[in-house]
Amino acid sequence: MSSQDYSKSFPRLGYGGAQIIKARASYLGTETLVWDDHLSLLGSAEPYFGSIHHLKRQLAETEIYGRGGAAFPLSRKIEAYQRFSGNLVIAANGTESEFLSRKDAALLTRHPHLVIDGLTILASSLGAATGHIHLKYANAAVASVVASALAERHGFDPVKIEISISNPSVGYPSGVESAVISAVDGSGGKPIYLPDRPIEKGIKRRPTLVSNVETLAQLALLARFGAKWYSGIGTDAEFGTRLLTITNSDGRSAVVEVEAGLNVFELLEALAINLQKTSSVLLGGYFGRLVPPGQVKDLIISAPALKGMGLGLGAGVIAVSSCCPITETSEIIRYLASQSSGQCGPCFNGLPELALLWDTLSRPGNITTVVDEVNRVCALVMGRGGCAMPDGAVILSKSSLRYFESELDIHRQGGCSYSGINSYLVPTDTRKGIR
Amino acid sequence: MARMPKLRINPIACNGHGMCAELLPELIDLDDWGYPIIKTSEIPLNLLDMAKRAERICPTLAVMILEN
Ligand code: SF4
Ligand code: SF4
Repeated sequence: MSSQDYSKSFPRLGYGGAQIIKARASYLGTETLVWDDHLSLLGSAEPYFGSIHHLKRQLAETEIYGRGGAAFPLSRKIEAYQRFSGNLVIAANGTESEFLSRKDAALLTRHPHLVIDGLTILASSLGAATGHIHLKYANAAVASVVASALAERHGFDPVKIEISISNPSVGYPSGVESAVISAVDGSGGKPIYLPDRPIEKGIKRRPTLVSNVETLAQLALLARFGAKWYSGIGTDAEFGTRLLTITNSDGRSAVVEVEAGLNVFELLEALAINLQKTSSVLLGGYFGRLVPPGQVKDLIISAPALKGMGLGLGAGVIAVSSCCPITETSEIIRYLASQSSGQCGPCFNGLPELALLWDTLSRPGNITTVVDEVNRVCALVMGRGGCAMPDGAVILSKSSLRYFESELDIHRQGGCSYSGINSYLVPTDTRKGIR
Repeated sequence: MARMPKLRINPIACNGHGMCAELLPELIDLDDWGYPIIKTSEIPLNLLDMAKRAERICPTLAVMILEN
């Protein structure tokens, strides 16, 4: 099949089963594309199995930035792991432990075969004999879709693929690369100490490349249709499309596919999200930043462009809040503190302290010394965990202190501009506890 | 010039016993909760023996010296 047959333009992942919101944004269809439909719509991925040179050539022309959160360039990841060829293990990370993210589950439900294609293309190209698809424990429906998809492909893939499930007792950190490795190995699924990249001693003590499931689906499209097609939409800053989970201030959310380069304000407008009553927009999830709504007009969907502004999309999360941004920051940090895997002193001591300080800031009163203390505890926590979760709390703290200085002033004078409005950005069952 | 060996602490293994900071106050501080903060990761030659001792006596094997 030629690329023209598949889709000249937009949408891509949502092609053939999605409702278009506007020219550059579309809902992802929810119906599973079974094996026969997948083959007739997209054609077989077999010609691209074991094609490392092809893959690298395409990636040299159009980069794919990782969709799990770190936005790491895929070409560089492949480069780093190429020397382990033959001995490598690949894990597709579909853990999606971020509370506000649903896009990986939606993608796996809609396109299990595209993800498996991407995993097989990458694994066979790097000489890996085994691939793992790691999924979230709470989502049995997704696991059964993926299991059926693997059964449908019986004997097709030159790579042995196994499904594994995250440990329900490990919350937010269960999606960390090293936690995936620990879970696949049956070692508990908490983050383990693997500070160096590439990971040389991962699953079964073998070199292990972990890649997000959406990254692999995008790779499967790029390998099939080529860089020229892939870069046919998007902007110079970033080509192609990406999946986002957008949450409104009432807690309702939708998974959308958007063209790279789309303006965030336009996107929210197209989704009928009114920014007038919005106090802040969470960009990039709990690992991201709360930004004032006035800034949203300057933001475009592009990992490198946002990075240049000190921002990011993380795992593709945009959430709108009408609650006090100081309270919102406090809620998120309290949630992160509740999610510590309890292994690293600076994390299980520092995050509850930080959460208490933010709780104080969220209440009207004299708070000048509390702000100094937030900065001091941030410095103690930053970079000192076994995984990067504590860094997320620091990054959010720092940015909220900066962006919402005027609201802090109002709190300092005994007021709050948004009293009585609830937060929907954190799971309610974790609100108890720390305080 | 040969690069200096580096000090590293595994935060997942570390239990905050603080012995490393007692042996190497030049390189390690303790935080509010008694966990080590590495001030300078480069280990100067005159402290290398002491660093190796810290590596040996840390009860959780959390102290590591990375030779270059
Ligand atoms: S930093 Fe926190 S969440 Fe990460 S491994 Fe350490 S204790 Fe667990
Ligand atoms: S001696 Fe070991 S366990 Fe104790 S504080 Fe130092 S690194 Fe941590």
